[in-house]
Amino acid sequence: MVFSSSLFMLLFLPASIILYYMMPSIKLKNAMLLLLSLVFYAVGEPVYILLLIAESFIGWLTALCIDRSGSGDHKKVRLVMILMIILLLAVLFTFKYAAFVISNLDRLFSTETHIPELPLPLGISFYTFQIIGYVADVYRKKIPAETGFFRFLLFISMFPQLVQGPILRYGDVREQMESRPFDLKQMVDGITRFIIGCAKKVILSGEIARTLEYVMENGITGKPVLLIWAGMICYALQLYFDFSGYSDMALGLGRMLGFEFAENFNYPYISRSCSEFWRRWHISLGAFFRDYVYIPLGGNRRHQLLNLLVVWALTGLWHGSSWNLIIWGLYFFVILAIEKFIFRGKLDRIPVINHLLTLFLLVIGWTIFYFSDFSEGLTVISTMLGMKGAPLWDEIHTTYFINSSAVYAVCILACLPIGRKVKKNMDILYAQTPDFWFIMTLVFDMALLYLCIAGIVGSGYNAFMYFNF
Amino acid sequence: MYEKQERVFCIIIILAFVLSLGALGVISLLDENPVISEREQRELNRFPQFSVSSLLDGSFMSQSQLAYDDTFPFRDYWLDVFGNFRSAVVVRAGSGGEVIVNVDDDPDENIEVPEEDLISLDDLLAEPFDGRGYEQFASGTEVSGIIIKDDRGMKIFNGTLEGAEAYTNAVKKIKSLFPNNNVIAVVAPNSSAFYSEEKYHTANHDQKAWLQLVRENLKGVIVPDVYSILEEHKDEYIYFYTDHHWTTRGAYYAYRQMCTQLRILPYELEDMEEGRVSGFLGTFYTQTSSSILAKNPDYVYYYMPKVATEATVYHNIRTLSDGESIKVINQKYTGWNRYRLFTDGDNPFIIINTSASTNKTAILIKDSTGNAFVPWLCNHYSTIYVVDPRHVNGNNNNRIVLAEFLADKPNCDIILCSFIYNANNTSGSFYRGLLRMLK
Repeated sequence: MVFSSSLFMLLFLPASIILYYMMPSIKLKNAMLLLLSLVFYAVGEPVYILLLIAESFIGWLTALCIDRSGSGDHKKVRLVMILMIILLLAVLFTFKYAAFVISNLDRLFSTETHIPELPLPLGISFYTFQIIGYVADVYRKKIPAETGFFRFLLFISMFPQLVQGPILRYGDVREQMESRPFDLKQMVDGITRFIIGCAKKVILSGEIARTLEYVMENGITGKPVLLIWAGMICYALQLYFDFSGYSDMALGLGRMLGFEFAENFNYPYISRSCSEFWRRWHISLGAFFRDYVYIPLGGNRRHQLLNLLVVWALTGLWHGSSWNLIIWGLYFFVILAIEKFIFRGKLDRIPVINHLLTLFLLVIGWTIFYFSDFSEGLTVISTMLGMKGAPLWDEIHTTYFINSSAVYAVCILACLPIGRKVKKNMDILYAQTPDFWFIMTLVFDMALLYLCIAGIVGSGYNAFMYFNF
Repeated sequence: MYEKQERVFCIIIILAFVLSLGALGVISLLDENPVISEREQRELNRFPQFSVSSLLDGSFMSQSQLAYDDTFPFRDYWLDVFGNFRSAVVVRAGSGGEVIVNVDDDPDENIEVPEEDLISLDDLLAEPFDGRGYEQFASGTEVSGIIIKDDRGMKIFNGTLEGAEAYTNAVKKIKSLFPNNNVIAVVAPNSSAFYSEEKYHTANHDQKAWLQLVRENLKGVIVPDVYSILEEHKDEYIYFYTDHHWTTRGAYYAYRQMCTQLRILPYELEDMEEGRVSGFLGTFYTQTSSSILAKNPDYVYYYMPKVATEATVYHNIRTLSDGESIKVINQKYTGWNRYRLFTDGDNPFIIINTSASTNKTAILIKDSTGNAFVPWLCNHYSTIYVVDPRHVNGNNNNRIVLAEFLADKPNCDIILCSFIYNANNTSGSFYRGLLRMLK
């Protein structure tokens, strides 16, 4: 179930909130939340829910073993952990990468292997990492192992974060599992955050995607340079609104239920360098690779370049199994290495140029990301760089861009940290004149929700010409 | 911990959120679910039958979600809200307040016709296609979407040499199969030829040139110069504002042009009994939900034929056993798509018998452009077979092979009537359906 679907918004969400708050104690609240989360997952994955439970169980048991063994046989403990990680990664590999690897081997050896088609279980990339991170934290004695399996399963399967993150750390939510003070203001904030996220996903991402479609329709051959740039910039915006909107909804849902999750996005497009971008984009993934891959490999102390390479190859792979994504990861490896070792942060300090250069590199990056056929992506990029002799602009497209200019303006504004300032002022308003805050919040929330519902219905709109009844 | 007042404020916001969604949810469970959407001209998704296997493979839930989406409470209301919102944020360009709305392609184009069912036209080289002087169609920008300018919706035409050649080859093939019959090719330009900004009807978007090219390559076939006569009358109501079709008046001028070429006397508009149905929001509206178009609904005018007509629709063309009586013009039509008042919309096969004393027969191979053309033909033919190649699906019982069909109808006029973009579109179901009829 997607958050921005009618089934979630009209049935699951209101029912969940009512059922959840009908529970008198935290224990029952947790039990209800677990039940709701399993229902939420089973709607999308009636079979692979067993995989989720099994992996959680293995992770929970492993951590418990590690914890119980105390400071005993260190090597054995380490081995147990490594075996578990290998097992979980093997499962992930089977679902996500096996077909890709086999088809490449086939191409290499000109063989033809029959590959059974496996669907990718929902959220598997997220929960696998969440389990691994948890076991590693227990191993490093950062946190004690969770003794209750159902509490651990709740941590893994909690529906606000199950499908698209953020990737939670058990240390961050452990206390919240035990006690969550019921805070009305937090709940209202959660509602506002959820609605904003929904608007980003349904309205902004939906509208900006239309330009991308317009540009990509009938292929890009022969299309003018600036048109392709416009399309790829729209793609960059679409990805941001789609993903950060989803994260906003997850955080908002968490707050409605009394949880505080860490932020996953922090206005990435205002970055002055690509390194900064990756500290602001999908923060929980970057932090995972930093804490569980980069630093254990030696971080800045030993063979830093190699560590960076591994992290970025993995980041590329994590996003999916195709060559362009691996190349996309390596592309950022090269840029980050140059930023780190050659410019050493000097470039960041040149105003305007630093932003423009970063955005330029990011858009090229998203172009690699977009075209699953890398050679096609390369052709597009060389067209964008003016190397294919395509015209700069074609008059016939002007109208379309003028039509959508208000949408672009809103999208660009939404990338700037204006929202945070408004939020700060709203909190001051709340403290000083609650009446005014109340009216503003109510009107804002309800108006935006109204529009979101229209957007959700509108996105399923399919006018068929010539249809015969 | 809070002031009482603040608590009340927060509770009101929370309740407003939960209860407004919850109320819609409850209504969604209790209300009656519609089966079709008139507005979108499609059948809505239905809730699936439950089975363990469909539950396990996930199809049960995904189908249920589609069905649930389609039966959203007050769906048409929300669609209007979103349509109005989208129209409100559009910045209109130029002096005509131009808007281009990118829309999904007609799913109609996707009807699959297997390659082996089609005739190959490779053997038509006796008189090769000559595209010299029309190089503008060899390349050019393809522009999709719907333009809205001065409250009028228009579709942009992207002509190709390949499309012109394919269409002329198909028509030439018909002529070669029936050298003694009148073969008449009526190709209707669309409204962007007359009302759009210059850039949308020049270069490869130039319909006049494309039609000229087709005419030059169709010697021996009667190709009425529809373009010129429509251009002469472009200040009249010959195209709808909210729909992609021509009006019956537009069809009338094409009919006049055809009569001139056939040397028969056309009826005068003034002599006909006129009527109209109001409040028509056509496909341009349903596809764009544009409030600009909504402000200005169309009228569908009709002119009753001077003869009595009797029309029957068949799905089983082989046995003609499932006849269903319809009206050539249904004056009482009140559905969303008012253009359906002509021949009850698109049907695979219609036989129309009229009281015209000419004893002439015709087969009309048409897309929906032809529907408004039919009433004019009724005045001159005692029997008209109306075939829509897009809806003759090729099954054993629902198939027409032109050579067999016309074997016992020696003097039958063969009339093709289609949109310019269906004529130009070699992968479209009109053209592919036509090739199947020639097999």
